[in-house]
Amino acid sequence: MTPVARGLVRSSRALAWLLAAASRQPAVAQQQAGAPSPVPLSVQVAVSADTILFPAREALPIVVRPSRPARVVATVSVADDPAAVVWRSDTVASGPLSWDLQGPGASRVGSGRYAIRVSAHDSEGGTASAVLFVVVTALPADTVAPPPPPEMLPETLLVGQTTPWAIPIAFAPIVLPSYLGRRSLNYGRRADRAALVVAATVGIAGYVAFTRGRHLERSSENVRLNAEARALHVRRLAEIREANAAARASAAVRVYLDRSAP
Amino acid sequence: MRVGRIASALAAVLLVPAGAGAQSVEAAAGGFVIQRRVEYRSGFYQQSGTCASIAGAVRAGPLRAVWRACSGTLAASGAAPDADVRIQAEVTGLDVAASRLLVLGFRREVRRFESDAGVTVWHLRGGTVRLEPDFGLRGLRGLVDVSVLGTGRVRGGAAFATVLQTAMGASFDPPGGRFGVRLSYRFERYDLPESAAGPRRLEQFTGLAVEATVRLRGR
Repeated sequence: MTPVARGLVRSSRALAWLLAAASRQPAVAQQQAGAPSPVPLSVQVAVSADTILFPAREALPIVVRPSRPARVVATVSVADDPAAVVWRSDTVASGPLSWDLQGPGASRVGSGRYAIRVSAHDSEGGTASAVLFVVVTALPADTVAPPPPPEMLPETLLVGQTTPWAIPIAFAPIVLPSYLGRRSLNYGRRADRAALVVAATVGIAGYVAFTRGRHLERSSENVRLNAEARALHVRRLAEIREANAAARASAAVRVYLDRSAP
Repeated sequence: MRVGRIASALAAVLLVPAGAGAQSVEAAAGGFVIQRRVEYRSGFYQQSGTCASIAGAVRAGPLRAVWRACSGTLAASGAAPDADVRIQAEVTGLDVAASRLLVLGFRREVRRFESDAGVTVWHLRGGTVRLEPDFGLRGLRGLVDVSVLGTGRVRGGAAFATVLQTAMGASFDPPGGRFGVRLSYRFERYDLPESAAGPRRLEQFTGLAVEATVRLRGR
C-alpha cells in the first residue's frame, strides 16, 4: 500500500469513528455546536425477538432510537400491502411506543405478517425511517366444544285404541228404532236382521281394532319435554358461544421477528 | 262444573283439527235393502224391496259436494194401499269437515214414489251431522250420520212434522288402495201430520245399506 493510500484509510477510519461518536452523542454534539450536523438523521427500531402477549392487558413494546432528538411515529401495516395500515402511533418526541395489537375498529389483528415502520423527523428537516417485520400468531384459546343437540323424544306415539267407538255404533242399529221410531210402527216388529248384521259386523271389526289396532297420537308431555330440552340447549349454546368468544378475545398471541424479511 | 268438563271433553274429541285435505273425486255404487212401514188411516202396512244407488263426491280441502241417486221397487207384503211402489230418490249436498271426526252438511232430497194410484213427490231439506271416528285399524272407521230435514213437504200436500234420517255402520278403505266398502244400517222416520190435504201418515224406512266406493282421483 502506498503512503497516500494508507493515509486515506486512516482518514476514513477516523471519519467512521467520528460518525459513530456523533451518533452516540448526537444531540449534545449538535446542540453544543449550534450548527447543522453533517451526519444524516438515522433511526433504529427494535421489538422483542419472540414474545407471547395477552392482548387484553398487554401491548408489544416498540423501541425507537433516532440518531439524534427527533419526533417519531410508527405505523403497522400488512406486510404484503403497505397501504393497508392497521395501526398508527401518536407522534412522540421520544420514548418507547407500544402496539396493543389492535387493528381497525379496535379489534385484535388476525394472525399474519406485519410491517412495523418508524419515521423520524428532526427540527432541521432531516428524516429517516426504518422497518422490521413481525409475525403475529394467535395461540389456541381454551374453548369449550358445543354440546351435541339433545335427544328428542318422539312427539307422536303409536298407541292402542283408547276410544271404543265401535261399541255405541254397534248397538245403535238395534236400539235406534225403539228410541227414534214410532211405537206403533215398531209394534210387532220382528228382530231386524239388517240391524243385527250391521251390529255384528261393526262389533267384530271394533273388537279387532280395539285389541289389535294402533293409531298415532300426539304426546303433549313429550312435546313439552322436547321444548324444554331445546330451550335449555339453546341457552347452553349461547353461554358457551359467549364464553368461547371471551376466551378467544383474551387468548395469548405470539409475536416474533421475521428475520427472513428483506 | 260437570257440564263444563263434559263439554270440554266432547270438544277435545270432536274438534281435532281436520287435515289440510287435498282434492279428490270419489264414486260409489251399492244397494239399500228397504223395509218400509206405514201407518195410515189407522191401518198398518209394510213394504220391502231394494234400491240400487250410485253416488259421487268431490272434495276440495274441508268442503265436499255429494250427489246420490237411488232407484228401486218396493213390493207390498199384505194388503198395502200402494202395492208395488217404484221409488226414486236424488240427494245433493255440501259438507264441511269441522274436524277430522266431525262433518257438518246441508242436504236436499227429492224422493218420488210411483204406483198405480199415482205419483207422490217429497221435497226434503235440512242439515246433517256425520261422525267418522277412527276405530284404530288403518282404513277402518265408524260411521254415524244423522240428518234432520226440517223443511220437508209433499208436493201439493202437507209439510212433514218430522223427517229424520240416520245411518250407523262402518267403512273400510284398505290402506294404499283405491277401493273401499261401506256398510250401514239406515233408519228413517217421516211424520206427516193430519192436514187439509189428508189424514195423518207415519212412515219408517229401515234396512241394510252396502256401498262399494272407488277413489277416481286424489287421496
